[in-house]
Order: sequence, then C-alpha cells, then structure tokens
Amino acid sequence: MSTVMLISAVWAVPLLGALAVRLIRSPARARALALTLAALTLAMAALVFVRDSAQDAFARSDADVAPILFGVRYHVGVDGLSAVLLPLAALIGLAALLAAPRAELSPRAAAQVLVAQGAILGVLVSLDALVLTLFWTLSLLPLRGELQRRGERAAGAAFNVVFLGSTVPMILFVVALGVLDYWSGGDGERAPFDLIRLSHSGVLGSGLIATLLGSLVLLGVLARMGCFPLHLWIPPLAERGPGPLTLVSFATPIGLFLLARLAAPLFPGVGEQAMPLLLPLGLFSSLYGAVLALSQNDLRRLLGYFWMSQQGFLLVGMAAWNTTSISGALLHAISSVFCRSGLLLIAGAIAARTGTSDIRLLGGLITRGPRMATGFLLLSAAAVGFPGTLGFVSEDLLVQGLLHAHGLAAAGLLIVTALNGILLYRAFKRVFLGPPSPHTQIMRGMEDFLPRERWVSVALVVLLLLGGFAPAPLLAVRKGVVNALHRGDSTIPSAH
Amino acid sequence: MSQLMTLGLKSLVDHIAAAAPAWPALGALLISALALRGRRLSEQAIVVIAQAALWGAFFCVAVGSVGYLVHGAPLDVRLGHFYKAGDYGFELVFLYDGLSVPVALLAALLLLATSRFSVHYLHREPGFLRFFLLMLTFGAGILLLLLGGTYDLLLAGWEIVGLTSVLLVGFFHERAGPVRASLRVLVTYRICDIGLLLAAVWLHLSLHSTVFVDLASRLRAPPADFPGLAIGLLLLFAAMGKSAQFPVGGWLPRAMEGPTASSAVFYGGLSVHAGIYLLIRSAPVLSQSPLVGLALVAVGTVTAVMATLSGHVSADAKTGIAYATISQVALMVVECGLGLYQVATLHLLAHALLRYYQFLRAPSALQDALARRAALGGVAGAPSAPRWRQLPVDLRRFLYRLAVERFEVEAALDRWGTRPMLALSRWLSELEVRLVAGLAAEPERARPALPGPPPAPPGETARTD
Repeated sequence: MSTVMLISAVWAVPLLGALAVRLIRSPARARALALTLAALTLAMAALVFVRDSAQDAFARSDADVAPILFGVRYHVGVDGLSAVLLPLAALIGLAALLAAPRAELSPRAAAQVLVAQGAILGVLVSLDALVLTLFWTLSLLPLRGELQRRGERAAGAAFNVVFLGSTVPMILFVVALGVLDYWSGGDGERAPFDLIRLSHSGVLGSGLIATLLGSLVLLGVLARMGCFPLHLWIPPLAERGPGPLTLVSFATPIGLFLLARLAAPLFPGVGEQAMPLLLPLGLFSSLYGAVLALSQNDLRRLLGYFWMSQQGFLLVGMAAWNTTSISGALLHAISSVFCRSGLLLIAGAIAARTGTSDIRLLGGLITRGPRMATGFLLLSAAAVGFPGTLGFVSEDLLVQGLLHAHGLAAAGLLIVTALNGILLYRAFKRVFLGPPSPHTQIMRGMEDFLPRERWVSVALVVLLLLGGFAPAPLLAVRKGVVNALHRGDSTIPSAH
Repeated sequence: MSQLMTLGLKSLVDHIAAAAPAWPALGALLISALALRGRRLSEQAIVVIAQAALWGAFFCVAVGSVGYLVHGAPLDVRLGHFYKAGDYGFELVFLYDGLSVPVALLAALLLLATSRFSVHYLHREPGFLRFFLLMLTFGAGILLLLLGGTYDLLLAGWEIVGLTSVLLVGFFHERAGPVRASLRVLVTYRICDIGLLLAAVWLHLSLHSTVFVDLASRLRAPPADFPGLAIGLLLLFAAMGKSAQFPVGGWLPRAMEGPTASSAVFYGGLSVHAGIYLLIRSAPVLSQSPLVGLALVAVGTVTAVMATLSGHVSADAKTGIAYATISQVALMVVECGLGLYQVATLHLLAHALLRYYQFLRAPSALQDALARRAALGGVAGAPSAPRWRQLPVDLRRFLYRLAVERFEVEAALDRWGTRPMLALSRWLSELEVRLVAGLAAEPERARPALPGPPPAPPGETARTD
C-alpha cells in the first residue's frame, strides 16, 4: 500500500465506517462494528508511526498531491509532530468505545464517536489549510448535534464558546488566504492553501496582514485548548456532555498541534511577538484551573478544571520556546491525554453505576471497587508527574526549559503541580476512601471494573509506565520537529 | 591482564551496587502483575516475593558498601543519561560514600526486618497485599533517595517515599480519621516538595549539574552569582516537610493512624530522617550562606521545644513517641545548622534504630510498663512531673494549654491558608456558573439538592477536607 493510501485510510476508515455503523439497527452489532473499525484505525495509525519513525529525525512525508478544485489540493503527510499523535488519537477513540457504559453507546453515539475521531485524524494528516479547516470544523459537529438533540442549554451555550471560538477564526483565515491569492492574480494553479508552499514562500511574511491572520489562528488555538478566558466550555461539557464523544472530541491535543503546525511556522514573526504574552496566559490559566478545581463538588466538573490546568502547562511549555521546554510540552501532551482520558472514563463509569458524580454523595467506593480505585490513584499519580511515569519526564523537561526562559514561571508551574496533586488526591479520598457513603442507595449495585474497562485502564497505566521508564524513543521521534520549531524553520517537511 | 580483571570487577560491582533500588521495584511490579490475573494471591507468595526482593536489595547495598570500603574512596557509579532533550539531560548516577553507605545499609536492614515482622502482624488483614506492595515501592524509593548520586534521583526517590507514606497513613481506609490524616500528610508533602524541585532545577541552571560529587567540587570556588541563600532556604523548606519541623510538622502525630509496622519504618526509622539526609547531603550548598545555618538552628530549636512540650502532654504511647521523634530530629536540624554534619549522621543512625524498635514495641507499651512495674515493685510517679512544679501555676496552665492545643499551629495554617483558598475557589466557581447560565440565557440551573448533608461530628468541619 502506498503511503498516501495508508495515511488516507487512517482518517477515511472511521469516517466512512461511521455511516455503516449508523445504519445498523442492533446496538450490539453497531458497537461491535465500531470497535472493529476503531481497532483497525489504531492498527493503521500504529503502522504509519512504526513505518516512518525508523528515521531518527523523522522529517519525511512522501504524499502525492492531488488537485481538487480552485487550488484546493488533497495533500496529506506525516512527520514527527503528527506521527505520535495519530496512534494516540486512534487509541483514545478505541478506549472510549471500549470503556464507555453500554447504555450510552447507541449506534448513533458510536457513529458520532467515529466521525469525531476520523475528523481529528484528518486534521493531523492534512497539509492543506482548507482541508485542515474542514476537518477541524467537522470534528466538533457531532458533539454540537448531540447537545442540541439532548436539549442541554447550558452545556450547549458553553460549547458554542469552543465551537465558534475555534472554527470561525480558522474559516476567516482560510477565506483570507483565498482572497489574498485572488488579489495577487492567482489562477488556481498555485495552491494558495498549501501549507508547505505557504511556509516556504513566506507569502505571509510580516506586516499587518500577517499579524491579523496570525492572531486569528492563535485565537482558534486558544479556544480549542481552553485557555483562560476561553475555557468556559470545559467544565460544563465535562460534567454534562456525552462522555465518550466529549472525550474523543477534545482529548487529542490538536490545539497544541495546530500551534506547532500552523501558527509557529507560518507566522514566525507573530510567534515571537505572541509567545511572551502566551507564557503568563498559560501559567495563569493553569493556576486558575487548579484553584477552581479545589472546590468542585462534581467529580467530572473537577476533572474538567484539572483538564484546563493541564492545557495551561502545554501552552507554557510551547511559549517558553526552547528545545527542552517544547520537547516537554509535546511529551506532556501525550502523558496528560492518557491520564485525563483514563480519569474521565473512570468518573463516567462511577456515574453510570451510581447515577451521580456528586462527590458529596459518594464515599468509600474502594470497598466495592478496589480496581477502580487503584486505576484512579495510579492515573492521578501519573498526571502529577510521579517518578517512573511519563508525566515525570515531561514535567521535568517543562520545568527545566521554563527555568531558562523564566525563573518565576517555573516556580509558578511547580506550585500548580502541587495544587494538582492535592486536588486529585482529595477527590480520590472523598470518592473512594473513608466510611461508605451515608447515601447507601447509591452504593447498591455498585460493581467494580468490568473486564473491558479494566483492560483499558491497565493499558493506559502500562503505556504511561513504559513511557516513563524509556522516554528516549518518544523524544527521538520528535527531535527533528522540536529543533525545527525552535530554529523557526518550517516544521513541515518538503514533499519529494 | 590483572588490570583488565580489576576493571571488569569494578564494573561488575558498580552495576550490582546501582541495581539496589531496582529489586524492590521489580518485586512490587511482580506482585501487581500477579494480582492483575484476578485470582487471589496467597499470603505466602506475597511474602516470598517481598523477602526475595528485599534480600536482593540488601545484597546489592552490601556489595556496594564493600566496594566502597575496599576502594577506599566514594564509589561514583555513572550509567549515562536516562533521557536527553535540548541541552538538558537526566543523568543516572549512584553514589556510595561515607554518608550513604551506613544509612542505606540501615535502610535495607530495617526493610527486611519490617517485612519479616509484618508477616505475622498483618496476617489475614484485608490489606495484606496492599501493605507489601506499598512497602516494596517505599523500599525502592528510599534506596533511590539514599543511593542516588544527583538531586534529580534523590527527588524521584523523595516523591515515591512521599506517596507511599501517604497511602500507608490512610491504610485503614474505612475509617475517617486515617483518611483525613493521609490528606494532611499529602498536602504538607506536596507543598514542601516544591522547595526541593525548585532547588534542583536552580542548581541545574546555575551550576549545570546536580551530581553531588561535581557540585561539591564546583562549590569550592562558587561562581559569584551563585544563589546560595535562596537554594539553601529551599532545601530547608523541603526538609521541614519530610522531617516534620515547625510550622509544617503537624502531620506526624496524626500519621500514627497507619499500621504499626509502617509507622516504625517510616516515622521511626527512615522517612522522617529523609529531610536530615537531604540536609547532610547538601552540606556544600548550605555552607555557602551563614544565614541558612541560622535559619536551620532557629527552625530546629523552636521545633524541639514545642515538640517536647506537646509530647509531655500526649495521652497515648504512639503520639508520645511521635513527638519525641520530632524533637530529636529537630536537634539534628540544629546540628546541621551548626555545621556538625558528622554528629548529625551519627545521631540519625542511632536515633533511627532506637525509634524503630520503640515503635514496634508501642502496641505492647502498657504490658511493658506493667511488667516493669511488677519487676521493680512499683514506680514513683512520672519523673517529669516534679520539675514543672517549680513554675508558677498560671504559667504552667498556660503552657499546658498551648501544648495540648499543639500551639494552634494547624488551626492558624487552616485559617490563613486553606480556608481563604477554598473560599476564593468557591467564589470564582460560582461566578463562572452564573456566566455560563447568562450565555445560555436561562435562569441559573437549580443546584441538585442533597438528600440531607452527611452528619459531621462537631469540630471536624473546619478541617482541610
């Protein structure tokens, strides 16, 4: 199979498969098909990763370019930046389908998960701004439809913050690219949306237009990452959103990806101007999330704020702008995806069993669900950088890199880490430890992990441990990208 | 030829010595892997694995120690980089020197003894597996902490020791007391660990290394802008948390809720001395600024006085020993502040052994006292009581009240730290909920009413949880 076929199949299989899943009546069969497709996607994504990561620097992409119309080209490729994220996104999709409560996984829900997953994989492989924006928008549509169908007004309104905040700027950006090309007398043959051409030719250069366009992309990125004050969508969605779909739509760090793929290489000047602003913003965002998480009474909402706090870390690492901190941010993106997804899946499992995720009503669940408690504890420990897990490595790199840029910021980040540890253990304590909940009707029928849930959480923990004990390969895959980003070169490899 | 053999032997000894922390870690992994199969693991299997792992660790430490003694100079084992990114690398260095050899030998010995003791002590306890798992993890952590040759490795061990300690305090998780105590331990540890983390990265930045041996040689002629005072104070802050010094020492008496065996090895033997170990290890850094020494003496003195007074009024054996431990550890801090690092090392070793034994005997303290009394034919009162009679009654009452209240340190921390933080968090959260409701253009969603708040015993509501 040629590379372009393989890469295309990675996003096409879940997207087209979703149609088939939606058409099946029987939930059990739809689920089985969805799982098969997700597993197939993961296998293909892993194949792409394994096949192309043989090179140390990993800066290769031999995708053919197929013109579609009006200069829009189907141009896909994989490099060190996206290679790790492909299996990651595929894995999250599979894990969400596998561990989600059966009651929540109707054929419609399974199809929605596949659509969101396919769209995100599409974002990761696109090398054309317009195609990328289409995938970018598509990845949020299933969740939007589902929220409207359920009539969740508050969560729907909150969702609009990320939906409009991340898609509108990107659409404006693409439209502006088209207009620019038209003005400069483009004839449709010059591929105005091709990211490689844009980054090599330096069309956008510097000046007012570049600043405006760069700010648009940055706005989209910040909304998608949930950076303060565009974070308003995270807690309501974590609390009220459909569990598996929300997870798949937002777990993969494509906000960070877009920052590295689009914002930094296309607008090197804007990057330099914006980074000093992004650093305090990211730091404040992570501190704010951690402080607000402290007083939450809903486990899923609490995890939402924790999520926000972690996103701040990624932004800080990118903004510190040296090789160590960028490596740390990219690594932390992977580690925190595993932890957050696992924790949210466990919170969802608890809610499905007890009918609530209100911490005040829960307590002492460890007697009924020791495996669940162990999973929660291990994932929390990994999330705050326990030695031996991937989080330790990534946070170490983040802080080391940050100290070079900004000593005080490093201290701030360490305080946030401490707060995160406290809030996660406090949540663990209130949910799992202590005397059993006085609201005993909740505990009735409480069951420990089912085998499929258990294997998902074991797999996540094992991956985190593997990464923690042998982080060198993961760092090597991204070395080329990190260096290129730091030098201000194009991170996008040239096509053959 | 013989030179080649010596070289080979040296490398073999190096590798064996460096593998010490790996054994308990492997044991813990093996037990968890076996437990994952779903079938119940027999107590015997657990004990066999744990003992084998701890004997392995002991063997490694012994080999390293013999290597150090034969070599006549510190055994500085460098195994290259764990990972690298940019101009930063995480080095794997293990160090057997005059400080780490005796303490690590003691640690390996105490771990073995604890595991042997717990076989019977925890027989048929539901958390049998959990206890051994945590103790093995702790073993890996403490050996890493003691034998690691860089601040980064020490930090890794430090964190592992911290988390296992928290989980063992909350070992009896079905009761509210131990669980609450474990949260307090965790909060103290997490906040104080910031000091160590920051000190480590700062050392990296200013001296480009955290390897103890290199640091010591570089600090003989430190760069002019070396922030000795700041790093020293950060290290002190870290040590205060782990070694329960004023004002963050309130967790230690509460930590006695864990199983006796773990109390002994953690708070009598090893964990509580980790802070002192850090201070002794950091002697070259601490000696850069005389003010750090002054701070050490001040913290140690205040803690020693307060802990002694509180210990005098404590009503149960384990709390009494806990306060006695704090005051002795505080004296070690003073010794470090005065630059008497070798005295502190000796004090540490002797004290760890004594307290370990005392903690293990604590469950039978009453029996011991009765036996002693019977053998001696009666004892004339508590020996410390008459000494206090010389003070005026008012002062005595005042001191008594302060001691019983543990000098209100915890109440003050709650009042000025925890509660404002939670209040701020609640206020902001409320604001956000309203904002989102405003976005949705609908009245604020009615908060789900609780079916009656869980009854909280009076006086316990204002705690950290």
